[in-house]
Amino acid sequence: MGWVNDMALPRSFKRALWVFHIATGSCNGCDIEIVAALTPRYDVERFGIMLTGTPRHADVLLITGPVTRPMLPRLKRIYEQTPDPKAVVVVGGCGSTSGVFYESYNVVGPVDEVIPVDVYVPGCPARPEAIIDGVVKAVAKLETLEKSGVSG
Amino acid sequence: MGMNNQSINLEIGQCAATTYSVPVGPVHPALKEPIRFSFNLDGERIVGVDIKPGFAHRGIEYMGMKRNLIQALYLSERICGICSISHPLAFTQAVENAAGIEVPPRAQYIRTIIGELERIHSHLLWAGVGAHELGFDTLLHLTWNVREKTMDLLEQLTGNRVDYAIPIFSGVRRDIPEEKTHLAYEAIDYYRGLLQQMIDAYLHDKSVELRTRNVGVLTYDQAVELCAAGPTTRASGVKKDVRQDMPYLAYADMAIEAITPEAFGTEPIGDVYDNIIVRLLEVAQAIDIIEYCLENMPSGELMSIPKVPALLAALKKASGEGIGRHEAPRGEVFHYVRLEEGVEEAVAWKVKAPTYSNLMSWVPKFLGDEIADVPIIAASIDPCMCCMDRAHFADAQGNTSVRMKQELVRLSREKTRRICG
Amino acid sequence: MNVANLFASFRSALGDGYLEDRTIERTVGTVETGTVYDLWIVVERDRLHDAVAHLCEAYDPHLSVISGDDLGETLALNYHFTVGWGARYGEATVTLRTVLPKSDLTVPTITDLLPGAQTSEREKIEFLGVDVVGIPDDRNIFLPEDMTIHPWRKDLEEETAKEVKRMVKWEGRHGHE
Repeated sequence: MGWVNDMALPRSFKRALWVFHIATGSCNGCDIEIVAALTPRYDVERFGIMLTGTPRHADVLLITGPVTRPMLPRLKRIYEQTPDPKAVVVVGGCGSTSGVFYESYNVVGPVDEVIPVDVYVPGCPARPEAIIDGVVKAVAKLETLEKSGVSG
Repeated sequence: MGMNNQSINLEIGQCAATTYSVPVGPVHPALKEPIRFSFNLDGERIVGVDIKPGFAHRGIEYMGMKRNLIQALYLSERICGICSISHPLAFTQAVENAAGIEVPPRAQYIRTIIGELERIHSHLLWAGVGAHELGFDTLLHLTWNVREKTMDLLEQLTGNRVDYAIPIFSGVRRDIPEEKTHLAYEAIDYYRGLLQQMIDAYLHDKSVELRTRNVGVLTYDQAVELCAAGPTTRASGVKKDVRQDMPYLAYADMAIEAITPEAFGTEPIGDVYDNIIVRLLEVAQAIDIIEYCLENMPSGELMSIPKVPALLAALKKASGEGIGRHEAPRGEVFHYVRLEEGVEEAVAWKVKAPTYSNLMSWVPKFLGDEIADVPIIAASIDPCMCCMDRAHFADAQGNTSVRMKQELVRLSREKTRRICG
Repeated sequence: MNVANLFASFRSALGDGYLEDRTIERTVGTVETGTVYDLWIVVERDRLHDAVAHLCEAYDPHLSVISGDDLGETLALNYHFTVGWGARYGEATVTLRTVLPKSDLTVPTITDLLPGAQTSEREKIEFLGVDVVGIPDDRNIFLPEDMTIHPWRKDLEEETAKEVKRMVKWEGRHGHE
């Protein structure tokens, strides 16, 4: 795949990337496309990228959904529980900009109003190829962070 | 040596009398909708369950009643990303009934075709997720790979994998032209060729049967009392299907029958196995419906009010109440709309998703089963996602430990190994 | 679906409590057409429980949902049932509508007749501020537990708007202004 070589997927990144996914009130469209990215057609696991069950083991946080009021404290807590260096990837239009869910009594807003975000993957829902592209960009960012010596 | 004498003085009766309360959720690692359960456990058996939904509540009706109807239509599409045409189908019917707008025959058939394609992809999605909960990741990958053919076809026909934006008031936005129908026929042949393999993989597999037979049972009477809908209720033998009972769109031209486990030759029990039967047979039914629609597609216009400004004007002038119902992959979707003359927005809008009806059926399904069965029982009503994750365990001495979703899935998979020897 | 019989049975069961009825007939199908019915019956609030009891006894109803409509001085509750499921073209929607004065927003529960109504009734309590008398569980179901507003009420619009503003411009916002 040409674009992967262009990104120069870091061979120096010594560990495989573990991704923790959290849905903060999304419609599940992007969530399903994230799982589709793991299945044989798109197969993101061949890059060593794997979904993990706990934020404490994660390198990348994958967040979908406009943050609803009950999910706000949980999102913050998950961000704090994820050790540095980490990259935050927001998947989908409603996580990036609230999308169609604006001006509601239960929607707090886009994810970047709650926690700092590194990569935005647009789309409603985002395609699996775009999601993989977003995660690879997060990998590149983490690689830069590690090279420059910045860590938690 | 070094053993505390007190720790070995527990009496047998004392051990047996301990019950645990286990809250589960709302955050779960893998793609599941946030929801909170609270289980009361006696050993491994579930003796009580409490459910708190609402973590994904965005106030759709509140927002929708502040926008014009076409904006509300796009909002309704994003109520759920898996059944993304079901809500628009019901909403357009409700508004068209309220305003007295007719839908041309060709548009009705196109709506039906896309609706059935969605049913195929949704049921295959569910089957893969169910396999994952049981520990058969290979089956998850195989099923989702097969599902990609439907996603390709949906993209070729509508332009998007999800959120197709096909229905609009008075018709559909895009046509399925002659040149594209061969793609649909290819997909039909592909799935017909695979159907027997899927049935063998899910229904004739001893380990799947051991894990799903008599697990999560919902009896016929419970299903009727709790007003359950969709495959959840049909698995218990209740012949409820909106396409059969109160036909609409192209279903009115076909004799659709509600599928229950009797179609497979077994007596309905209402367990998880019966849910698998109903959903896989509905994939076969969906293929037949799509083929009928393609072969009998009427010609004609796509929208009875093709110009959008004229449509908005007609909707603003309309007044009345309308009910729209659709049989989504998960069950009955119900929309109620009231329009007032001179007002652009809907004055009243009520949305009922199928999981709303099936929420209470979780309670009898869980009671009496083991904690290791929680993932598959939760998935069995197809709650637009299964939802198990971090579980907080507190024992009688007040010691707490946090276990991850992987722990619950591990328990589930270990049970499979235990049973299958 | 014998609409006249259905209305007549309700009339005899409810007497004065039966206020009005409405039939909406729709034609469906493009090859061979058929007819489907949406039936509406307006009943007095005090006879609502009897109406639902009659429905459960004479038919095997399915409750789709209860919808609410803020009409200004009053509030209408529509109980959307369907009867006759199980056979092709056998089903019709039967909506029992009752109008409550805002000064006395109470309605009896129907969960003793149809346990599946609990979700819908709890939703009306939190979204419209209706008091459902006798419901076994009246906690918030879709709204957070500490939420006190009633979003679908048009007269309480101001409080809801304040809550919306609180969400849109919340203090802990990161990275904006």
